[in-house]
Amino acid sequence: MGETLRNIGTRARRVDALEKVTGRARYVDDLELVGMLHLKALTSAHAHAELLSIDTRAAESMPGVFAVVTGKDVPGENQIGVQIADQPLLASGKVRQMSDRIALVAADTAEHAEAAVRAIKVEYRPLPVITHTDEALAPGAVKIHENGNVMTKKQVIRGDVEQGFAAAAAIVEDVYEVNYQEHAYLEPNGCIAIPEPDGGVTIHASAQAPFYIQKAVARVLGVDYARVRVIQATTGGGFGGKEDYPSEPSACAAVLAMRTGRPVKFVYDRAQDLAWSTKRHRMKVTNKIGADGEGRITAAQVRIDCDAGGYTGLSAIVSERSNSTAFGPYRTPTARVDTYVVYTNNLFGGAYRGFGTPQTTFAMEAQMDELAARLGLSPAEIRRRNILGPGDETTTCQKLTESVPGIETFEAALARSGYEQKRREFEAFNQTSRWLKKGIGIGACMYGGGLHAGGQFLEGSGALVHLRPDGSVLVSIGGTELGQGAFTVAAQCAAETLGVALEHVRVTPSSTDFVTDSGPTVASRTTVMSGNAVIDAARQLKGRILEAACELYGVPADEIELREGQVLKRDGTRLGSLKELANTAFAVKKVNLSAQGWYAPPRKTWDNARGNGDAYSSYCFAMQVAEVEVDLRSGRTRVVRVTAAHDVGQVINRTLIEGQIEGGVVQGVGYALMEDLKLDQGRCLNPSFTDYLIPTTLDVPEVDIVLIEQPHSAGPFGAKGIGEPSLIPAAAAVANAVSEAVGYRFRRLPLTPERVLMSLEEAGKLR
Amino acid sequence: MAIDIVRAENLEHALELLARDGAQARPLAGGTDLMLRLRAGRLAARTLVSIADLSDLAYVREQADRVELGALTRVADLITHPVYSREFPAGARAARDFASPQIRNRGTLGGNVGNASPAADNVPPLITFGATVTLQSKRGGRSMPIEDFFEGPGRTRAAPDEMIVGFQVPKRPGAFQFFAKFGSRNANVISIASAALCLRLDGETVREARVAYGCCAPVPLRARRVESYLSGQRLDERLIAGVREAVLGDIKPIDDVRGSRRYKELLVINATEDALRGALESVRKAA
Repeated sequence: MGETLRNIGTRARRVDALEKVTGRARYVDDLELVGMLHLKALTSAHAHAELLSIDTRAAESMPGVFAVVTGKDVPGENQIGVQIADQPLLASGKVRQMSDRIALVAADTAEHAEAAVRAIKVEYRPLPVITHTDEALAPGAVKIHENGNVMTKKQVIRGDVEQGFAAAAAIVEDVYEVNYQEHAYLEPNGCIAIPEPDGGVTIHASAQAPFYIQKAVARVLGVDYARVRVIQATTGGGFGGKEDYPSEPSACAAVLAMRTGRPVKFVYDRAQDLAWSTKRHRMKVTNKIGADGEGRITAAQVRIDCDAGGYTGLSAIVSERSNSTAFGPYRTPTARVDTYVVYTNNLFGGAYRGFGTPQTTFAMEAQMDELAARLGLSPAEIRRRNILGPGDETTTCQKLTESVPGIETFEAALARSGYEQKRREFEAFNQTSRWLKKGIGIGACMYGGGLHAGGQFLEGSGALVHLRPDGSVLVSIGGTELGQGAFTVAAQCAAETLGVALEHVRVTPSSTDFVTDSGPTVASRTTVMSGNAVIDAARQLKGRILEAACELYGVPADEIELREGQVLKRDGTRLGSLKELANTAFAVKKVNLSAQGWYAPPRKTWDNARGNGDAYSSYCFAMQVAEVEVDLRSGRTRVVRVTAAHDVGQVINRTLIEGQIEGGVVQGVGYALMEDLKLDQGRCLNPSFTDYLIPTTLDVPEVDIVLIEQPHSAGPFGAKGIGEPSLIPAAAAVANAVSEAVGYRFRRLPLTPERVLMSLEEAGKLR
Repeated sequence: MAIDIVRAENLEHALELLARDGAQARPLAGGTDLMLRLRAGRLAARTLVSIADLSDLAYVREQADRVELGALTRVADLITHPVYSREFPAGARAARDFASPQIRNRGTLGGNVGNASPAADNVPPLITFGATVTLQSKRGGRSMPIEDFFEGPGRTRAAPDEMIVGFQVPKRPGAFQFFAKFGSRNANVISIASAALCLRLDGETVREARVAYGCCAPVPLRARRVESYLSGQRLDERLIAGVREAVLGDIKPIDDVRGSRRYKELLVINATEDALRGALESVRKAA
């Protein structure tokens, strides 16, 4: 590089801003096709039962009904398990969670389909419902799957943890439990499947991972990947909830589209989406940390019980991230992690921004505060003494080498928030204030960017870049736009590399027909993966047109610069326009003005038995400080301010980064304080935004952002991901602040007003 | 199941439609509750009588001793209306804490009362002001104290052909008013519990106490034990400390998805104590 960046580090307006704020963007439910049918699903009446019979005869003859299908009607394999084949698309033999589909109806209207669904008769033999991982693991527990209730077990072994504890001056050990979190994207799941004349199918879906849908649909239809085209519709948010899950409605719609020969729309309402789609996992985390007299960790041990629900889904992969980064950004000379992924009959656990680490971070950060108190250190000081730096090894024995500004990020958060001074002020305030208590807390995280070593078979991303003869640019990426700004980042990378003005770059909707399998848009990987792929394609094009320019202008290629649509000599002399150059290259020189880009990080080594190796390609740090006020009359917590310091490598788009951080913090605040799905025998009791509360604008704290830029050579222009680290430490920081405010350690989330007040009442802290 | 929506041209027309269709008809005002129930298939009505055009039912009128509120007064108007917010600050506070701007802009006071939720935020303050609700049908009109209007969740004493047309709210000059609602977030939340008090004080003596709670019984509850415990008593820490027993004697909250019985009890006790402390403070400040 070395040159001035014109399109990087800016506040470029989102490429999709206007269409979204004007309402012109078309989401799945806005699409209407001739002859289109509507799909409705019958789901289970029990969380765990044998399926004795399904009678669809009455439903089949209902008005407007075109088809009613059950498991036996799936033309290919009746299976949608992404990782393990344990989940049928349509229930067969037994049901294991409330969201299991028994039958599907396609009818001319949604109302007719709904009426037919109600006419389907099902006989069950109920089985005992397993509602907690402890019950699932108890001896003699009913088996949810034939091979038992432990889906998988993972571990990390680093040195001799017993020796580490023997050397400790203080040890803390406690159990932490966290509830589900719902993604609460604005747009519920939805898709349309269109049967194609060639025997294939086109899917338009609200989704993060079109390539997952492609594989799932090909599998249930028994057709080639090449005959399944998946186009991402404008998507109203995902947060992980649209990684694997949209494969389910898409596969359903595809089966019925093939069966009826008509387009089939399947759009969930909010209650269905809340009850059926995946959630952030419930976890029980038993965390034990030992430190020497100076507060340096000598041993770290954790057992994670991850409640997967009825099927594997992505749970085994989610728990790999919990497993590998359970101890946050701290040095752990000896460590032991045991992660159990356990089947229950609760809700279906899945991907959610942070992917299994907000839970372990909540536990670890609470333990750091406890350890500090035990040793007479401040919460800041104990962290300062343990934060990983360049040259240190992570828990999985991976050596950190490049761009490791953990301590810089941490100190920035402390300094900007005025942590130490506020802590003293709040302590004094609390001495005299009877009902209102103030607290300040820290949450710290180190996030591995991209997919875990165990998932690296998916780790590669493509891009297709066309330079049009008028000098405009068309970009397609394998990543998806979820509202996070991926298309804007892709456009900026293309504009920067090709020297085109940003407004002349268009990014197409993502389609499996344009680029090769690029994996999912998850793991905070899309800026790095798709950004690098776009740069790769754009560089190829740049090379070709510079060659043409060299001939056209008689100037050596390395003397020519492309800038904002102009062709310049290094000294600034204008040679011509990119439009003229592109047209000549295309029409006269017959240059190929299309290029496929590709990026894949170096292969990572991984020893699964010991959980050792290069878990992730790079790491970034996120340090947040939360200030809260707790009202002891109601138990209500107000988060006043969150100071968020983030190691981002290099800012590509400052506005988008700030948006990611603000959004992540708010989701973390919701997770910490109010988001509370309630279950009874596996049934969700509050599947609505009336009773499942997420923060409103009036619950949003001031978010004060500090960005630390230490470029990483593998990132586009040095950038690292930001999507998830923005959320991960927030709940931990808020919970620590609340605990400090009221002088009572909370070990469960969320800290609803009721939980806070009743816990304090029970602990005799109120009167 | 088809539902007819008929636009009433005037009050007469609306009452005629209600008289014709009886239990099968429901008046439709802002629709913020009704439409949800309709879409969820939980509305028994076959005819919705839209009264949205009856603009003469949207008013806040000041009389010498009372304020009259039309049934179609939007909740948003209760917040901003100078007379209502001056005379009934606790009522305006409840309106402000109610739902979201969108719902406040559409939802009406008559609708909030007629929906008969034990959590209706606007009702407890109205109970403490001694408000009456006026019902009208082709057969004539009648009024009753608002606390007597409710029979259970979603059930009122309005006959099928009767419609709420307005409210009479006696002014409470100089009274100490209080309203607090509790939810798990700052806006657009259904109350876990709410409390309203209106106290007429003579120095530090409570001359008259009117107290009401939301979400503490199947209907918005007038807390008569608390009222008689406070009335005629000297307002001091001893009185405040003893109010807990009276509160527990009045309320019967249930465990539900929004909160446990015990938590609701604590909230209402704390709110009542806070209100009394606030009243004491205001008296002492005035002295």
